[in-house]
Amino acid sequence: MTYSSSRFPNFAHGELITIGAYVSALSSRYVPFLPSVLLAAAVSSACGVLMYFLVVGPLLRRVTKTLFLMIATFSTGLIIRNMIALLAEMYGYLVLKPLVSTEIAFTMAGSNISTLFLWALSTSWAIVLGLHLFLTRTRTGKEMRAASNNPQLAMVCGINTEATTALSWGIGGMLAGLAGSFWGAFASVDPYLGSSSLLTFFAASVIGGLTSFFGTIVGGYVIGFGQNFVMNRLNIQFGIDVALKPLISFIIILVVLLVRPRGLAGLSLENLKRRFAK
Amino acid sequence: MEHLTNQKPGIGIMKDGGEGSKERITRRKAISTAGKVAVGLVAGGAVGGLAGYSIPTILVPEQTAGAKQNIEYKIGFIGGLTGSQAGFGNETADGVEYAINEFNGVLQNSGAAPRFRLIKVDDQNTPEVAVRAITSLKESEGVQVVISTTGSGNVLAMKSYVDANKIVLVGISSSPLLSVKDTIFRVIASDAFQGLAIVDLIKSLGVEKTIIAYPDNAYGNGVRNVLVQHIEGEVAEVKVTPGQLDYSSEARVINNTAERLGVNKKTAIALSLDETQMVNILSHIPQTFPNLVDLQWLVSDSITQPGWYPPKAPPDAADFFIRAKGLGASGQVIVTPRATEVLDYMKREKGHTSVWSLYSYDSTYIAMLSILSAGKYDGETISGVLPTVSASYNGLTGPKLLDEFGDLASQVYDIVEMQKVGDEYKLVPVGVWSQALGITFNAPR
Repeated sequence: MTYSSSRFPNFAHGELITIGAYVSALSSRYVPFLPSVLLAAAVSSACGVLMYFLVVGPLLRRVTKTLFLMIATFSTGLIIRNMIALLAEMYGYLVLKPLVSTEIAFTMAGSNISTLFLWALSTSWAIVLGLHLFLTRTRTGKEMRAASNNPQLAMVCGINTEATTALSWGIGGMLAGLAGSFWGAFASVDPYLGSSSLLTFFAASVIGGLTSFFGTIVGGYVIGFGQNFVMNRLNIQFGIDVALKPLISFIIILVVLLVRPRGLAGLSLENLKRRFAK
Repeated sequence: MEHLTNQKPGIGIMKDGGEGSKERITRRKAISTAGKVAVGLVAGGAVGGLAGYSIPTILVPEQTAGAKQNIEYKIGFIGGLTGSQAGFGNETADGVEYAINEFNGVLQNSGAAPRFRLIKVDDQNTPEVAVRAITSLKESEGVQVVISTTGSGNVLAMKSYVDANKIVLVGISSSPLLSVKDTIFRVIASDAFQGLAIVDLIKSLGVEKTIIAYPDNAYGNGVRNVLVQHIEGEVAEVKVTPGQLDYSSEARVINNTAERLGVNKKTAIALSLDETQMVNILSHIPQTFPNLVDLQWLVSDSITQPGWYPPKAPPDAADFFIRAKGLGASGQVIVTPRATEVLDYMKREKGHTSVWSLYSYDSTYIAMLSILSAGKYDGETISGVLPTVSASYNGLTGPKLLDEFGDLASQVYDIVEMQKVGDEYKLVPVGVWSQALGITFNAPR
């Protein structure tokens, strides 16, 4: 989302996930899980917009070099991460678990599927559908896509590109907040949650070709399947340490960049048919 | 049993009745005696007859004999003052500072010349910075005695430099990997004791096969070595690499291993994990592998880490542990009445009541007394007298008799189980373990 609108990878995206995870984990002590997730999404979204107006926006207007923007977001991430760590240490929240009790919903092929998985799965698909409709059916969504495709032309057409870019940072933050909430409930929350997951979500984005919405979703499933199912099989068959699962992300990034740098972007059934016909 | 607020995980507090005020008087007398040494008095033999502690043999410091002049002994401090362990690091630094100020105050009142000066260095709780810190303390400041409250991994990283330069390092790291003859002294027991407590639990419960789950770090490997060495039945290992985003795969490996060995009470799972791993793994298992409730769950001192049970976590893991009738070994800490005074000060002035500040206080006291007792500021000489000084020292956290490796010689563990009392989840002692007596359950099991 933010890469499409701003044309550089946001290295502070992980911290938006961490913020969402902490907001959800802490608020779950006072409110049920669903409101805590919504609150986390709202706070992370606000942080995304703030990040845009305080750091990215001014730099985008002054600097054009992608490297500078990347370093700026990297530094922003570092500052946020350490502030969170400082506060978490101060209040005894270095390791935190949202107060969400989950139970086994059903058993499938010998594996227990928890209610949390069902919530996460249904929420993610609802978001995919909602965002698709927003980007393709609403005026604002179309303006965002136009500004992302060709900012100069969009500006000439009267689109407020500053506002659409800020909105994309807000939506990016919201998605990060949602991810953080569910991740925290599944595993646990600590100040390094987001930064540790950078590699995984970059790998998913690379598979998706960085700008493809649906490609990134497919990328997420590929990475998840690789890190869990494949790694588990490798462990059972060959005794390979499951801690090596980040290696799967590295390998995928390398293979995709070497074989098809555009990832799944621009790949359609027609293209595939044509390729195989050759 | 009394639990202090803001305490670090793994500590149950037991009050030692009795001799608080008496001890305070003797402490001051002892410092005063030590101070007089520095202005030229020779006190041979122990300052006996004092409840609390005595200083065994005190020599005149070479450079000060017969002269009342300003002598300053430097005490280095290495701890994580920033970074993820900053809270812990600063709490221990507070204990060191308190001890030095108190000691200097008594020296001043008694007219003694020497003073101790604290030089704090932040190692950010990372091994590379810890090595730089000790090097800088030695080479820039000429420090011979360092109080270290950094992690075992960092102490292991500093060890070769410490050994080469005969620096006296007094600290609270607990990995059994540091149990060797050197100039590193520890006022807390080695984690080997928790391993031995688990071994005795395994024996007393009639367990035949054991799965050991441990992190690949100084703490985990240390406990693992003790378990592997002493467990008599079949042992399988699940090594957990620290610093991961999630440990669901490790939970699955535990399940696979348990299924191979047999999921019943004759198979135990012995966990010695860091807090994040405890929280993570114990939250995955009830959801994904509920059948593992039939294993015999045993947890080292990591059981007292509060992150895995309510109010810090949802009740799933705690309920699972109750159903599984799991047991853990929780280290007892003796806190004397005098310690309560120090903690009151910490609460008032520093905003915490960390028991770790008491340990760092004791480390510093032993170091300072040893310097005065040695008679010269030389690491090798100080390390020679330190065990004797420590043996006579009755600290805020109890006696500090050291073993041949310079570690606290004994440690008693409460055998605890999780209980739900009303809405509250509590670790309740159901027995006790000591190296001499093994396990004694309060009621037959």
